[in-house]
Amino acid sequence: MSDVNGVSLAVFLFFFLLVTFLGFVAARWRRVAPLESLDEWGLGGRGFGTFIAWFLIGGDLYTAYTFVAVPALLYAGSAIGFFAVPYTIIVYPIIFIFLPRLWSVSHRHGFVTPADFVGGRYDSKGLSLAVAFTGILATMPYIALQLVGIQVVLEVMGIGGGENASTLEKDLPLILAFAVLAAYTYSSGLRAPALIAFVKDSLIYVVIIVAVIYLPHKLGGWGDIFGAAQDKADASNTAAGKPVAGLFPADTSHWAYASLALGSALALFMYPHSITGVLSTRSRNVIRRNAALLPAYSFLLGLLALLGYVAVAAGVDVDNAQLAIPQLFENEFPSWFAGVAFAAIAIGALVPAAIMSIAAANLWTRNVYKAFINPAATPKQEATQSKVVSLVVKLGALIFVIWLPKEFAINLQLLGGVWILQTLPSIVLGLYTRWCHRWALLAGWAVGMGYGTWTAYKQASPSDPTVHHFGSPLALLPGSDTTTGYIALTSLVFNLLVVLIATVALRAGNVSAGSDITEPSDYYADAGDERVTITAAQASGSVAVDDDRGRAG
Amino acid sequence: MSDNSNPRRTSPMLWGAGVALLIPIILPLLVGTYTKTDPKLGDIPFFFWYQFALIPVSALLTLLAYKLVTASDAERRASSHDRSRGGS
Repeated sequence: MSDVNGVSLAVFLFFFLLVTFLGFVAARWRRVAPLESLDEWGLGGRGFGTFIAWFLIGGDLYTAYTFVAVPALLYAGSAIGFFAVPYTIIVYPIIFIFLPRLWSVSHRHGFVTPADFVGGRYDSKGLSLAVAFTGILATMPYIALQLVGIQVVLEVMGIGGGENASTLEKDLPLILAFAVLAAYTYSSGLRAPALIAFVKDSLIYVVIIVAVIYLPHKLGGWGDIFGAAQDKADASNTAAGKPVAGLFPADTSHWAYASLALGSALALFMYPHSITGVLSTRSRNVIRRNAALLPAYSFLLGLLALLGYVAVAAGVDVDNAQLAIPQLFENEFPSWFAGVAFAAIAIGALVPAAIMSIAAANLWTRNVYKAFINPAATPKQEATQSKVVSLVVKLGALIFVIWLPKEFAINLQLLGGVWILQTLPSIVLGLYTRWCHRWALLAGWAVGMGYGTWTAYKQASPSDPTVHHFGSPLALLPGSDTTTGYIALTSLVFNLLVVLIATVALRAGNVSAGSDITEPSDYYADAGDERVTITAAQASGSVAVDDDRGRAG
Repeated sequence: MSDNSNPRRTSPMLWGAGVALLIPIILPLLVGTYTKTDPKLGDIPFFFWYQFALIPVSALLTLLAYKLVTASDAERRASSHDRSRGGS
């Protein structure tokens, strides 16, 4: 604890207290109805406009994972880590294509979660439960990833970390930070991360812009930086006696790179928290407009990734690659600005963690509690249930962090990606056609989950010989000796095959497909159309949503 | 992309939007087209600056798709209001 920098710590604490204050104040922000329904607590009143949605969805998608794990991969010599850039290029057209339809049908029917939609569309509580279960399961490691982000910052700052720290000493600041987060998420719901996202993104933009201008200037320019990265890759290749590193993916890794980008992009908007962000918007055009505006973040992400090479050039030497970027800031920035940068990373973890726990809690409440335990639950009971579960989910994530190897936090998120992608057929195909049979979708989901989990389990880590399981998101394609691909995408292919074959069989056998509460016009309804604003809150007699509330956005 | 819900032909504008959205999905997946060092942009290898360059390109194409889809929506709304008010 001797090397704590007082100035950095003071700046860090200032921003942490600022967002804590905002988190609690947010309960009163833009509110007309009481917080005692899921539409208010869990979706922020469903009234966010383009401006707020940009921060909220951006805050959702670009997390501590961005700051820590992506540059860590490049720092460690794996050019595959740069897949994060094509991934965020691909994701926005995909959001543009699919999510307005989900927005429309969800507003017509008061759906809060993707599992609500699946249940209504396919008349199957079982399928809806499978989607909800997968969402909660996949969100846990994602929240855990945020915890890892905070942890590395604390470690570099010298609080709680160190080789000899006891478990309690090591984790106490983290537990405290999460307790504060849990408290304001509980009291303010989705409004808390929405408001904090302004601070978070402003800090991140400032830190990155300063970092990519100031650091290369200090280190002799980008030419030297790429030169240093190339030298390091050459050295690893010589040491290994075979090509293991490089500035871009080797020929055999092209599909790995592409499948990670495509698979992650498809998975991203299946995550409950991205859907929560999207459903909190005011109209379907807010989503489309944001799809064109959000790539500003992709540029930022690319610059961030390159900081991994900057750390190499700056001579940062850490055993745990995830410490590379915080250590770079600590070494190269004046201490007050290092404090700002650390705050940016930590707050960058808090915002998505809050949204994710809200989304997971909504899934529990709507698709387990209301569907199976208390079908007559009032909106108030639903909100109470969600608030409590949001706490439980955060606790689960803490356990995740302690239980799984943290060497490459990104693998945790990629494991979640394997699972969540298996819900794509139920959700996305369901937005377009009712052809797929509900039991076929369930069978496909089960096959995809089983295959994906088993394959991920079998992967030893390519860089750490002590890790025998869940070591990589990539696996050899079935029937290939050299080509690897993202496990999630391979599993999805098996999933879709099963859906196809089983649907044909079930239809031939005349097995009941159930009824469908949606109608074709539901899928393009927009704000202002009949029945669009009917939500649980209004149906139960709370204050109506009017368009004026969106003006601030 | 298209709304198969209304009994109508997919307008050319929606087709255009579909193409505008497909380009940024497909280009990044053709990894072999950009895993190279030259031509460099300043000191930056092709692999990196090309992917950076794709970001504004995809944003502009998505913006184009937005304009096309909103124009098409407005057209459809106008015609469906003429036909019937009870459809929605």
